Amino acid sequence: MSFAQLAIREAAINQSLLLAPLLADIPEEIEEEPQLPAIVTPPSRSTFITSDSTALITQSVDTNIILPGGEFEITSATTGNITSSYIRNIPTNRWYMVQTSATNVPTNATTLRVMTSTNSTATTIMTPYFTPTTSTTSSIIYDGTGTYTNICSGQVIYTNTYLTEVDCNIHNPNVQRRRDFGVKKLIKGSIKRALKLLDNFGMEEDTKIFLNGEAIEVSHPDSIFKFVIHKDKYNKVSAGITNAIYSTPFKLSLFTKSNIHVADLCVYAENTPMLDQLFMVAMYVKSGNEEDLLRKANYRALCQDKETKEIIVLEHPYMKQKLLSR
Amino acid sequence: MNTAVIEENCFSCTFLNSLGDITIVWDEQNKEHILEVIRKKMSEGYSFFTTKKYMFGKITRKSAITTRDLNRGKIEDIIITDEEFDKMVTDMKDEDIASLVRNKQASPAKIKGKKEMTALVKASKPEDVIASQSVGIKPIRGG
Repeated sequence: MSFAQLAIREAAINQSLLLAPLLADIPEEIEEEPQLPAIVTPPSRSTFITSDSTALITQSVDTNIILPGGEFEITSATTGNITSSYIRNIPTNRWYMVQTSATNVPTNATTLRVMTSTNSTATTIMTPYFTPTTSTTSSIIYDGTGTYTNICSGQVIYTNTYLTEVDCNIHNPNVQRRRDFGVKKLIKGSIKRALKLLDNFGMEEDTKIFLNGEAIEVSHPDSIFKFVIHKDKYNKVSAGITNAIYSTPFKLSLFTKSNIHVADLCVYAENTPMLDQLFMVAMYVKSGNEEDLLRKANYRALCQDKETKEIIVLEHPYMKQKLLSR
Repeated sequence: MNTAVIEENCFSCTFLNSLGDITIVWDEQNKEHILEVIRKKMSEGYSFFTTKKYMFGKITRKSAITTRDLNRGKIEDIIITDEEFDKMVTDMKDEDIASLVRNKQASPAKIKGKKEMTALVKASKPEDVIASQSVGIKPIRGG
């Protein structure tokens, strides 16, 4: 019954579309903004490692703090009137940013120091900037001891210190190059495996069309829907391999088989590469389990025709809230 | 490359993961271990789609091939070095599955031959999965 109703509705829509230009002003064409590539920032973990009322320089020595990635020891030593604080046992393959807030300095300056596992000198960034009365340098010792030194003479009370793990690629170009080679191999292997999987399940031709940037359709014979999958130039095939993704790595649109656009969908499987996501969607749909996808998906760019949506909801009541609530 | 023989009481599951997919096979003796893992995966939201039997080739460590196997003709057609095998297990990035492989309760394998996706049926309970060939997918979410 739904097929017939949708076909009638489609005819009515087409007729109104034919007459619309004669009856109303032609709306301005709204240029769709190009979809920006996903920018995924690796999650950083910040841990507050000292209390508000405790000054770091007066903290008892040999304090051990457990943080993600290892155990850190905070010690302090005073040479002249400069107090240095040490964070020991930083793993040599990890990069941390130390952020320390200080009082009794002009306008509560904050210092940021990037700590590395090489012998390079760390860079100090201060906000707001002021000219210190005494300047010192800080250096990092390779064996996992990180050193940062306050750059002001006189009494300085450090109140809060945060240790944040950062992506090492930002800081060490040599590490970036080595990692790039390994990453490329990983991506290539993953894509090759996915292509083989899709081929094994009879999707070789569809995959070729998809990778060429053209749309493919996936549907089940008993369903009123078809899923149109399209990879545009901003979607990377490597998505989901080396970085986490939180949305569908391609465009997934829901149409009726009479070509009425219902909605754009966003549904994905965690930590799964793009081609495997394509396989996943095809598997759910072709095995007759598209309802699982439709229940979980978020809907965008909804069809504006209320009657069409009501007809669909009669057959698929679980879509009522997503189609008719807005 | 020789065609692998379908073993009557051999079952498999292909898991989609961050590196693509990994297929493991197991026999009757290890069904209970696999059942435990499948049950855990299902409780985490994994979906499993079962299909009819198909051909696959077991991936075997080079050092695991014995003279007896050679004499009896039980050579698996995908033989890799120990280093490659260990790297594969490390790359699985799924401790449950890697543990099954390390403990020799399951073996990695490769699917061969074509299948129809329409032949897949969604499994409703773990017992359906361990007695069939299946594909396991991570929990899906709205993005």
